[in-house]
Amino acid sequence: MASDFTRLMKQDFGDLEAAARAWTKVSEDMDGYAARHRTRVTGPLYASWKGDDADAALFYLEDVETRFGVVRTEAMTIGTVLETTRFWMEQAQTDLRNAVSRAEENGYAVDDDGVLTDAQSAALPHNDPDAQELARGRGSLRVELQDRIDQALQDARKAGADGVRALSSLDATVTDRFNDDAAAESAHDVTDAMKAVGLQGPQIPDDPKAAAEWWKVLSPEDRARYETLYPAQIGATDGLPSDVRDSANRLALEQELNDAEFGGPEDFRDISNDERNKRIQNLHVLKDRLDRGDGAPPGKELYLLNYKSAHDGQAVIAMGNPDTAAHTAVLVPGTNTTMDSVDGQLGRIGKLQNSADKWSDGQPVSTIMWLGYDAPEASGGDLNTSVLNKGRAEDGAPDLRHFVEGTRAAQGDRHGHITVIGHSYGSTTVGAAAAGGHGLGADDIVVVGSPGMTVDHASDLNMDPSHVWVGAASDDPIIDDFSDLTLGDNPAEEPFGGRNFEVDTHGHSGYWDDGSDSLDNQGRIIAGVPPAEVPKNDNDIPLFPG
Amino acid sequence: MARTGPLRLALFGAAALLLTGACMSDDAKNDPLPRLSRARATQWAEEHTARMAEAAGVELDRASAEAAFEDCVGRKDEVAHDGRYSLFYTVYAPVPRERHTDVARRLRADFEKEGFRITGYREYQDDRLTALVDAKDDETRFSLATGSVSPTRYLFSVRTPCMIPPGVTQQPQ
Repeated sequence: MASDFTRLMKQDFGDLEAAARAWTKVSEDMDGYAARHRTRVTGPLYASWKGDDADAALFYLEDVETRFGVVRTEAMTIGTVLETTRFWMEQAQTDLRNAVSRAEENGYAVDDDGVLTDAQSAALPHNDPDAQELARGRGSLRVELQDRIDQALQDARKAGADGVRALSSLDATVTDRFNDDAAAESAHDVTDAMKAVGLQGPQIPDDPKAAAEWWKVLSPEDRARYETLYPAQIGATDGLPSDVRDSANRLALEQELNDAEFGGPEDFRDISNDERNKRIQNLHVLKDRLDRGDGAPPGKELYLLNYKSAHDGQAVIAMGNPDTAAHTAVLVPGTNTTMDSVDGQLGRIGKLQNSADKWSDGQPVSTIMWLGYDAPEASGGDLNTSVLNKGRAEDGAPDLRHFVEGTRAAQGDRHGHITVIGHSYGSTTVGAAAAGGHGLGADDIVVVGSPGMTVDHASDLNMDPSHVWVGAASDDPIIDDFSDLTLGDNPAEEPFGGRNFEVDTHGHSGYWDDGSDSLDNQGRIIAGVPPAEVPKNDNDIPLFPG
Repeated sequence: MARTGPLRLALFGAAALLLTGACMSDDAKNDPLPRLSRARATQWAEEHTARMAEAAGVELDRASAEAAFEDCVGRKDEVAHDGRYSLFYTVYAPVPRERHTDVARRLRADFEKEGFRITGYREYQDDRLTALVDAKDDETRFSLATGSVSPTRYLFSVRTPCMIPPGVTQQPQ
């Protein structure tokens, strides 16, 4: 049997490279199949098929999509392990060949086990000091070259062993159709296999522009690898393309939901059973809503740009691709908004998009629900103190700024028109985001039902105050009771500045009522068309709730 | 003001008696919704926009017409999937820039004649501060939004409140 030395010297890695490529291709194919299955099979069925039979069939078909994701992940893991193993072994081969060449150039003999011998030194006269000096020099070089050969062989053995250990952590039963936790297992497989071969995750710059540039210069293979093996990290990165984030986040969601439902207790030691159940519920709500949107026509497709399952849940979802939109709106909701609000929030951004689309004369419009912060809770007369102070808004502000910056970065060199809309306490968050740092970077800001924007003047928002739009229903109790107090001056009133637009709806939550001008005026602003404007309100004395 | 114009008669023949109060507040969220089929609502919107165009003295580009049936969203983000909808009907008309103010004036006069409340009005100032006329029927809560979208195009739109087709069971919220 040939020695390791002989085999490494002669090894052709073409087969290994081809195998790695083939597994990667399987993964990419699975990604494509899953996307086509979503948009051409389940999506249209959701739109047209209702009832118990539909529920049963769609449950099965959703499981098929999950299995596509499992194979996508497992195949990419195998491909990455093979490629990494090939890389390190080929590197070891190069080191070995270089050491052998150097040895041969210097007159050493190399045997089949990679052992160097030096016939020249042996032939030198023992009583000649110069010859012995030469022999000592040759002896040192031989030791150095022998070390290099031994190290190369050791590196190759390690690469092989790491590869074997990584592949051994993968279990074919993951693709068994009765395996309930296959998606979760595939995620764990990635962690184990990458650890075994010593691969770290992507080192993504935090700055959205830098992240966009980082992504742009990656090879297509690296992009596919990162998206598949590190979906949560890629999906959460502001500045990356929206379709990439969407695909990654949907995969991460599948894996997290599956783990939360079927994973062992060791994965959930840090949280209570109630919290685990809450996360499962949040993830189901989100997934179900996304599934129902899979048949949406072009321009109405949903992009999951970020999510968090913990506590009340968070989600950032775009309707229409913001990377290519001429006009983009980001809606920041207010108090009591949780994952359960996703359906309604999507309904609202859908209406805003329809309106803006028409006022923009057909230019592409994307609208985004940004539940990317921990919105305060308030119910009935039991007002949580978080509603009354700026804390949650200031906590969420850097993330909102980061997101808007990422939206711009993903749009590239062109300057798309971006509007950020805040409702209720969401307007406080928008205000904090605009007032802090270098500003929000929005072209227009809209606030409706605002109790205050953390500042007393529109001119404090790091933008042209004439692009700060305020909608205020005459009977909005939140404006009446809470503005001019702890959250800043009433934006609807004259001293604040900015411009008020016509609102024909009532109360605090009617700004998107069906058949309302309030809605259409927001659509106009999103499209860059001035709305029907009304005078600023007179300065008023606040009525503190009794 | 008496409001008996032909537009209103056409509009409310099917649904007027049911069009009050729905979706207005939490207390009223389970009130019966006005019933109108999607086809009938679209037909009405077509007739209505045709009439608006006639009053404005413009010719609609019917190929640009679009009827978007939107989900009704409650004030606490509730969405009922029982068939209820809100119609957003839009159609463009080619109108040269120099006529935008005239069109706005004619539409305002027409809406006022029909008894609608004018909620927004602006005459054409420049390519940014464009013309618009918005109107509302407070009784039925239909709204009309019209205005310049470019120097050569004018939008006519109709929005309805939340409605539900006949024969569909309204699910409680």
